[in-house]
Amino acid sequence: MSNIVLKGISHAYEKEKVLNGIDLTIEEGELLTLLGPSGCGKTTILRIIAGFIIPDEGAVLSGEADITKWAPENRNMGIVFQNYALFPNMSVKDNIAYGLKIRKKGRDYIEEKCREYMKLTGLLEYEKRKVNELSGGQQQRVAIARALAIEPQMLLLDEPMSNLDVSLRTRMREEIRAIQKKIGITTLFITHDQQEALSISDRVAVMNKGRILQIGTPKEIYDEPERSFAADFVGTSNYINGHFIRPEQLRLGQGGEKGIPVVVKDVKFMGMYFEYTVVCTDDSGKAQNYCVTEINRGKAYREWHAGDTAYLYVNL
Amino acid sequence: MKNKNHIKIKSGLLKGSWYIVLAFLLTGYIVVPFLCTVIKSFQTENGYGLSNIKDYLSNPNQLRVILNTVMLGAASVLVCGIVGIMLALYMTFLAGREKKIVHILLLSPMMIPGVIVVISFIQLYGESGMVTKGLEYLFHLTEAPFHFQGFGAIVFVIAYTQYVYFYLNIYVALKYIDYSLIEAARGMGTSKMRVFADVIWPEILPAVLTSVIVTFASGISSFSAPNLIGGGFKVLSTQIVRSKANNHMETASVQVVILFLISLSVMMLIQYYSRKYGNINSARASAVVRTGKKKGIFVSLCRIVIVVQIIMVVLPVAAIVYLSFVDTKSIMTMIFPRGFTLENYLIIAEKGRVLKPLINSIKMSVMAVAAGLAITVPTAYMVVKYKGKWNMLFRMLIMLPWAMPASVIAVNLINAFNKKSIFAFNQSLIGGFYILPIAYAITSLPLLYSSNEVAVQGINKNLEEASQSLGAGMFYTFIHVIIPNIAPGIMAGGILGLIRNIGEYTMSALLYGVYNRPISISMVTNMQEFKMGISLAYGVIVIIICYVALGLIFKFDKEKYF
Ligand SMILES: Nc1ncnc2c1ncn2[C@@H]1O[C@H](COP(=O)(O)OP(=O)(O)O)[C@@H](O)[C@H]1O
Ligand SMILES: [Mg+2]
Repeated sequence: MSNIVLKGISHAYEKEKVLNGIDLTIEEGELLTLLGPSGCGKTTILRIIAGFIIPDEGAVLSGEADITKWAPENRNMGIVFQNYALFPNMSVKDNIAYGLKIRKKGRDYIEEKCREYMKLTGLLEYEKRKVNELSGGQQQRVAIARALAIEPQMLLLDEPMSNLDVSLRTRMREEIRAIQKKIGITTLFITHDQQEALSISDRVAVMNKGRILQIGTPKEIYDEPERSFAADFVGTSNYINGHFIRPEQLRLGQGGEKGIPVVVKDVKFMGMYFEYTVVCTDDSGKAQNYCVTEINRGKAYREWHAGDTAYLYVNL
Repeated sequence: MKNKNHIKIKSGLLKGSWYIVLAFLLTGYIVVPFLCTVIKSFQTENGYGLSNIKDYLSNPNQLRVILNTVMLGAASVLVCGIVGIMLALYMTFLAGREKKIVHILLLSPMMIPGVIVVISFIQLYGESGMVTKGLEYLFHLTEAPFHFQGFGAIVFVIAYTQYVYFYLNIYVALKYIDYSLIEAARGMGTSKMRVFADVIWPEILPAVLTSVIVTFASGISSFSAPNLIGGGFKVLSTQIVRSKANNHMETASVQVVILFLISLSVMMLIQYYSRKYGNINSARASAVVRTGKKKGIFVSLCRIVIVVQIIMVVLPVAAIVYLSFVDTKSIMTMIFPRGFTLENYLIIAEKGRVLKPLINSIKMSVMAVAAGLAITVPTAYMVVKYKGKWNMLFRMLIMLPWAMPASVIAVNLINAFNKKSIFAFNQSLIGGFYILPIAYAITSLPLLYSSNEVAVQGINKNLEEASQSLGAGMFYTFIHVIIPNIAPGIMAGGILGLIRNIGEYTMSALLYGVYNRPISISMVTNMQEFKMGISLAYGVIVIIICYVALGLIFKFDKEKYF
């Protein structure tokens, strides 16, 4: 295994440019997530890494080797497609064994590996089933087991949760993360869901319109968004004095030295916390809205009501 | 690294040699034979010129033949259109619990070779047919109430056999109609006629236009009906066979070129119209809501049409099965023959010479379909995957026989292979066994290709990529992933092709020889030699084969038919 480096990748379908100077390194053993809205070019990057697309410009490096023009079948990449793309004509086990048969492994070896990965993904009892007799979650497990069985240099997952019930998503992402950590495989994970991205990743790359806007750990991305797109796409944010500040980094109080005087305009009770919209009128008379959240600490908590005057503080 | 290059070169070689073989076959068996016919039509005793064509077109009798041919095409479209559309409307909006069985019955003529239907119709409505004699007896007539011959009789046969294209295409199109539109229109008090004109007609127009092409093509190329019950009504296909029999290949070639041009121009005209008016609407989810009221003149009319249609479809099959168990002598002498016997079948089973045509037909049909699939499956795959100039050109060549009536294909082959040909490895094919399977394969190409293309388009594109990413090359993926997943579509198309070939009559009449005498020819000659029983028993065996096949098709391709 080695790291994968994208260097100055640009690509256009017909005339529409969909990737614009992508530089990205996926370190050995890490799980890196591409996070961005639909149509921003995430799948295109995955397809370039997998070898289904040769980019117009730039290079894909695997360690020292330039693999930009290698055929997909020579790259040894495990892919979990958005629709799983399981072979409907084969059983669970035959799906998992497919890549091993191509590699002309011995019967015993294939048998052993299939069991290993079925066990890892919790599929042992479904071995003989046809794949279209499985639930969505089980199909996803087969897709993962099939991709891992070839012991790929890298695992690529394209929005793997988008076909699952909401209730199953959290569980599957925890399982995927656990498996990834256990075998320590270099992984590229694609999603448009910020919660998913923040909770599963070692690092997150935020994308928009064919560019990578920011790369960092989930906490860095959330706490220190560098641009307004990244700030807004990942959670809500306030723009104060040239910084993006999260609602939970703000606090309301009754007076003091450094507070900004504001009027509470709207209150939303969210159970675990309160979400306030407050207005501040600056010197020029322009009204500015801020979003503030405060944890609900039960009876001890002093609730604000619409129309109250208050002071706004920044907790940094 | 060395290994990787090796794989690339291997798959490149594979692709390259495939294209060479394909180009060789399509050129040798479709393009060149057609060119041979065109050249032949210019060939005169002293060189090449237009005199054949001039002579032909200046003969009023021949112009009459051309006119008859076009008339037959138009009449087919008209009667089949009316019958097929009414049936489809009835089945969609009005049919109750009986729907499924009626649907299968209505589709069944597709599965029975035309020549069998014609022979059976003769047993029913011919001079000494059961219906004719029955009416005479019932009404004490001194002569037959009708003469089952000529234009009327041909159109009659076509109305009860060729309506299936219209019926099926429109039935399928109606499945995608947005019923809420109809409900809304009805809710506003719009009359049924207006609903049909404003809501339903635009939706089914593309299907109607497709059916017009297919029905017109089968009308102008129909041979068994004009040949067996045409009387004095001559059409191009019968005249082509006659010219060939008299060894006037130049005349036959002129006739073939004219028939081809008629067929091609009508097809292009209609395709122009369908491009202009018939935007295929994307499929919508439709809750099937049926109108509750089942009264009114139109409904009654539809009911009558459907009952008559079913009787007309079932009667020939019933008649042929019944008569096949009767000895020939009583068929000839009694109105309702009653001399039951198994003799007809025993003769076929016992005498190798009598069994041979059946074996021949099965063998040749299977060979033709196998060859057709070997050509069309990879081509459909390449076209869907890569598009590209060359693939589209091959696609066009494969679809070309669609515009070629059976007699055209046969004459083309005669002109190309009645001498040694490099495309047959320096053999002459005419008179040999292989010429018929080749002809069957050529006519089957468009049908096989289209069903394969639909099947290939239907598979999830990611499957192939998944296979590749797991390390499989193109060939391995094609065999292990693509083929198994398009198999149902391939099978359905293949079986339909098999059925069409097994009772094929037109090309058989032009191309058969001592080594490959097919069952359709045997049926007709046995009938003409007054060995009616054997002829009918052959028919029953073919019908049984076809119905078993029909069952298989429905099993493989439920979506398309129900
Ligand atoms: N095969 C294609 N041909 C033309 N345009 C495409 C093709 N695939 C994707 N696109 C376009 O490229 C852009 C990026 O697509 P994609 O990489 O799939 O985005 P994402 O996965 O982030 O949703 C989109 O605008 C999409 O419409
Ligand atoms: Mg995508």
